[in-house]
Amino acid sequence: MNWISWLVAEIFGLFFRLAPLRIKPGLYRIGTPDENAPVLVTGNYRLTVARLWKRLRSRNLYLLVADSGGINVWCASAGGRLTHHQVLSVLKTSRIEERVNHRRLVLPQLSATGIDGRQLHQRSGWHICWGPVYARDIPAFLDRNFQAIPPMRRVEYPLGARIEMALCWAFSLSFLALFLLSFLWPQAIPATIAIIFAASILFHLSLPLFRNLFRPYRRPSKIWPVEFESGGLQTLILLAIWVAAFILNTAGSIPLAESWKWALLMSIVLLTLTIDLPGSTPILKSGTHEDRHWNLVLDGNRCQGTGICREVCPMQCFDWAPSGKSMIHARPDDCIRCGACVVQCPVDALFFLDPEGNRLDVDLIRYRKVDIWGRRNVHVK
Amino acid sequence: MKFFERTPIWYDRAIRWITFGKMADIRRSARSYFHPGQLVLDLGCGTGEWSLLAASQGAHVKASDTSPLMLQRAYSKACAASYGKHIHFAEQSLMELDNEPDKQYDVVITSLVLSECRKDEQAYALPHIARVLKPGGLWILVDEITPQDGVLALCIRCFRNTVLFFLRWMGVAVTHPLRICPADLEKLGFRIKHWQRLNAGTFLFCVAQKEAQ
Repeated sequence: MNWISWLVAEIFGLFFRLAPLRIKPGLYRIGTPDENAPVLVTGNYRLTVARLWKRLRSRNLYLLVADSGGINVWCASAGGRLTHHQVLSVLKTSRIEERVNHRRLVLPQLSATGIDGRQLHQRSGWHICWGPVYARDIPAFLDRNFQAIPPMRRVEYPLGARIEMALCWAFSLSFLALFLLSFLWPQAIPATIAIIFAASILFHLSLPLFRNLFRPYRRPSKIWPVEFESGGLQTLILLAIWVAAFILNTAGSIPLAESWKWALLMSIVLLTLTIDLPGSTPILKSGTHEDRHWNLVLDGNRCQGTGICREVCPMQCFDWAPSGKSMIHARPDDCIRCGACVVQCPVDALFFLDPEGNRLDVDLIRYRKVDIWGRRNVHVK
Repeated sequence: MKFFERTPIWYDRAIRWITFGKMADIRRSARSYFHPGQLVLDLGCGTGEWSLLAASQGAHVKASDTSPLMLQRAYSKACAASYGKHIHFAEQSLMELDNEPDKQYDVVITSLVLSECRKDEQAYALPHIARVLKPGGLWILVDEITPQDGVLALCIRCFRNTVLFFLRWMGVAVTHPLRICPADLEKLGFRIKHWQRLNAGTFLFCVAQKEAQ
């Protein structure tokens, strides 16, 4: 890895972030690591590895890049592409145990939803510790003797990340529009691309204003029969577009055929951009995932206060109970149902209830991961 | 073949289509390699077709796979065929072969599993397969293989790479056909008993015997 690789990954990542960006799995040395150097694990998403290198290039450590199919750590873990099998594979094939004299493995916190830490420990003998969410916090995490403070464990969606996400959606959709409209309606290309960029940036920049409409993940009510996160938003947008087209047409400023053509094009563009708007942010649950209606329950009688749930929760929903001997689910409305706490809890004190109040088997969450349609169909045990 | 592992009910049918029905023929011809009392290791057992074949000949089988769905399917089939007690199912990958004792098994089966591993994983697993076999033990290898040189091979590679490009773009796990020749197996201490390329040279059925010394 060098500056050119980093730049290529950043540029390519901006244009084609929605597609897998692979880097060869295996052992990467950063600096000149010795036998005491820390061993960090990540997925083989090129942009992640490039950003890790940029943040850690002044350190001496080993980076184990597991095969996550070129998908980022969180998505790969949730989808069963980054599990203890992939980490075990890179541990064995890299022969890292011959290079270091310790057995401490730093896993990305966001992989906790996919990698079963206990299985990995039992099968490999390595001790697992969960690193911070962001690469920028890793140096401080290492300096603190592998301890992360709560802000390092919380996922954010700051302005920079929102702009990146808006641009990556806009670039991908613009390429598609350019290709299709070249055949169908070449005159509309400049205006369509302008609309795509404007709408994408508008949606993502204004997200903090309307993010609360997406949560908590309630089922449709009598007042608003369509869920806002999966259909409701799109219905509103479609209504607005077609009412505007009708008004412009009746006002006589645009001919009927022209206004309908533009309304149809706008509808396709905006539906594509909002198809999974909450799911394309790290702070909201995807509107396609069936898990969004589940409720997380903490069994206080079982809980032994290991604190692992607090360590892996990306929204920091857990606190210590006043007694200090158990945990409490202090901020349930922030929960994005990622299931990391359920997967990692050593005493199975956490579980989900479905909307009918049925308790879901812990192994369902631990070993069944979501497929591309958001259903837990992928077994990974 | 990981793509089909999500729907085990379709897996056997999909394999039949992909191999143009050759898998059943291969299993039929491999029946004579199994004998009562043998200890057989079926790596990446899938839905357990090879394990059932070995168990039907009186062998004791350890069948391993990383997919619980496939193991579940294999176990159901074994119970339905009354071989449930002869087959021990384990959820483990090829990367855990180092936990198996030396010279333990009479037969090791790897059917459509090595091509699911990357090159470095294949390089890690092959010496362990040789290690866990008893002297004189058999390794039955059935897998995708890179076709030999020639115009047909070039056409197949072009077609395959085009398909794989789009599959990779969609995030689908793809296979890595073996680049292996009899000399490679001989270096590992095997003697080739049977080497057959099928389906325009893209599919390999090999039986190799571990040297007594």
